[in-house]
Amino acid sequence: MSRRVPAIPSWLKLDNAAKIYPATSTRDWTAVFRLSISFKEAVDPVLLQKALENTLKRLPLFAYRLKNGLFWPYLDKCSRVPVVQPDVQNPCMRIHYENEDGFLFRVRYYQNRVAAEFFHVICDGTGGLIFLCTLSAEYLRLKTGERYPENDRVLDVRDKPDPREWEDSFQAYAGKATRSRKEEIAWPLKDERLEHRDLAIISGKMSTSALKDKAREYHTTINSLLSAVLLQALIRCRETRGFRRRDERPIKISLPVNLRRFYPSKTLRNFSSYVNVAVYPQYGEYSLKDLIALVSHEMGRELVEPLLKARVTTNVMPERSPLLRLTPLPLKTLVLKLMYRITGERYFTMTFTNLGQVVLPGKMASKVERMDMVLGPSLQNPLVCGCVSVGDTTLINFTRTGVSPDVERYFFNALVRLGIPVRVESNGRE
Amino acid sequence: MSYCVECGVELSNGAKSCPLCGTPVLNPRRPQEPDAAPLYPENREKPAPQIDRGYMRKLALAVALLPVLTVLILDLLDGRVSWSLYVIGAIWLIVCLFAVPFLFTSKRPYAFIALDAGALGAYLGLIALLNGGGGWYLKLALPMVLWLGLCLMGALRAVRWLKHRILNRIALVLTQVAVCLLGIETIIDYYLRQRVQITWSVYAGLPMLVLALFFLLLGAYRPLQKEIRKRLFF
Repeated sequence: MSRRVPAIPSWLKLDNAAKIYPATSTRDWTAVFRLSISFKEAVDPVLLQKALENTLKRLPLFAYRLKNGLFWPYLDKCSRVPVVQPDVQNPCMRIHYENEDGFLFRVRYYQNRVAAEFFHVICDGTGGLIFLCTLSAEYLRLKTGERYPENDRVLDVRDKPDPREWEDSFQAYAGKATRSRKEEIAWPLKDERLEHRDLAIISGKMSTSALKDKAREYHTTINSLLSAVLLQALIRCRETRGFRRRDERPIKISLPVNLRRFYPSKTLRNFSSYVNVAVYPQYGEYSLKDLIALVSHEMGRELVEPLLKARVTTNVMPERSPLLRLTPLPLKTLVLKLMYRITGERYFTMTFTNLGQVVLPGKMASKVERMDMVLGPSLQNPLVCGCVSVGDTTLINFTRTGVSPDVERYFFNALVRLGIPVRVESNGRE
Repeated sequence: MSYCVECGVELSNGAKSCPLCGTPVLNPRRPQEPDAAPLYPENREKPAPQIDRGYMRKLALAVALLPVLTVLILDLLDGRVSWSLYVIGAIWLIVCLFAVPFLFTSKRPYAFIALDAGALGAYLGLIALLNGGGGWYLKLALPMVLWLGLCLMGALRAVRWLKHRILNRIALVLTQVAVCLLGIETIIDYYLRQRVQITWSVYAGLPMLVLALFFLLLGAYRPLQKEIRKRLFF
């Protein structure tokens, strides 16, 4: 078998989804998300650093920094290795990629937890998850000497890098036909901001099997069940805040969809779409069954390959236009910033990202307590939610820039009423 | 473990109140563990102490626009635009010379020099246009501005030519100064007399060349450098 390492490109173009982030990320909207894994023992930073170096050799996509060209930003290969840092109370702060060694991710440790924070330019949740799981497996191998078998989340660092991992899958799978982006503006969840740009993180831990049993009872999936409970919490929140004329807009949650389920892509870069599920509370009272039916119906309707392909094509088409391609980057940046502020988050009330069940190979699973997904703050919507499960533990993390924890309270309260015990923790910033 | 009596959720060890509703935790059977590890550490990441240059750019634009609009309106009160163009041109020149390098983080000194030369050339051109002095502008002012801009870029390139020793770079800059003076005299002579007669630039340039030669030789002769350093250190 050839041991030749494939040529790692010295530079890469940004994928379609990544192009928006350099223009629009600010101190308030960092476009950073965080994935963490908690072991059953304290983390050794020296071994973690070594594991990071080994992991970057296998996953060179993460050793790029962002630079500006005349027409587009691009990723430039970086030969240095980032240093692991102690964790902080306020995660998901802006990643300063303008610095000399400006990596687009960082690795942090705290007690028995390893966390990786990624700037959305470099990868999406699935790509980040594969990186973290591979890093963790390598770390455990250095610590215990045990090597874990490879699976779809854990890669073997001894293997040579796979060029499919840095493929721009949006370009690869875009078609010719587009579809309209027209949709209704969502009811905005407004709230007074926390002081000093603080971030309140509330984490809810529950049993995956309890969720599965409850979902089975309602003849649905865990994702649909949680989405429906979230919609219920948002409806209740809106009721308690009083009804005004502008509240006739529907409550919508945005559910990111991993396109790798529909295409044979191995990319670690961004490759996802979304489904916006809308509910009109002014039509009447919705039971949980009604909301589950709405979510399931909308997901079933939208998660069809041709429709997803058309959406991808709609997003990719503008960047093929010669007029847009030849517009200088500063002008593009200005226009993108303006457009995002006007339209970016108007079409959903909040985002709920569910990475699903992470299956860790063999004995590695017995060394892991939990995994968390924490989304960075959104620009206009004060609340976002991330969910991930490993083993029998599901963690749901709400990230909030507003003062009121109403939605989280209604959400976890609803789960408890459904008979799913929940353990709640916070970072103490509420 | 304790539970919130309001929400029904289990709370972490050490939680003094429920994070969802704020209800205090009171469980006499399970006293709180004050040493229980929090979910996140105490230390916070401070945002990088950098100036928000985007905001500063907008502010600078607003500050510069104020006098521009003021003089324009005052001028228009007389019926036509005349003297205000001098002020507007000067403001534009000041912004290019002093504000632009500060307001943009990208280190592109050659671009800044080119912008400055362009701005100065344009301002002088405006003055020429308003006074019907196309002759001195095209034959003297513009070539002078372009030549000085070019010389400045050359000097900067010499200073940044890091693979050469500092003394060699000083010698190169001095040589460039001599050439620059030559160019200045050529432009002035051509404008005044329509012919070039090199005179004063030789007197100014020759010592520069001699000094450049000295630095070049000094750069090549290490023992002399050591002697000078021994005697002149402070």
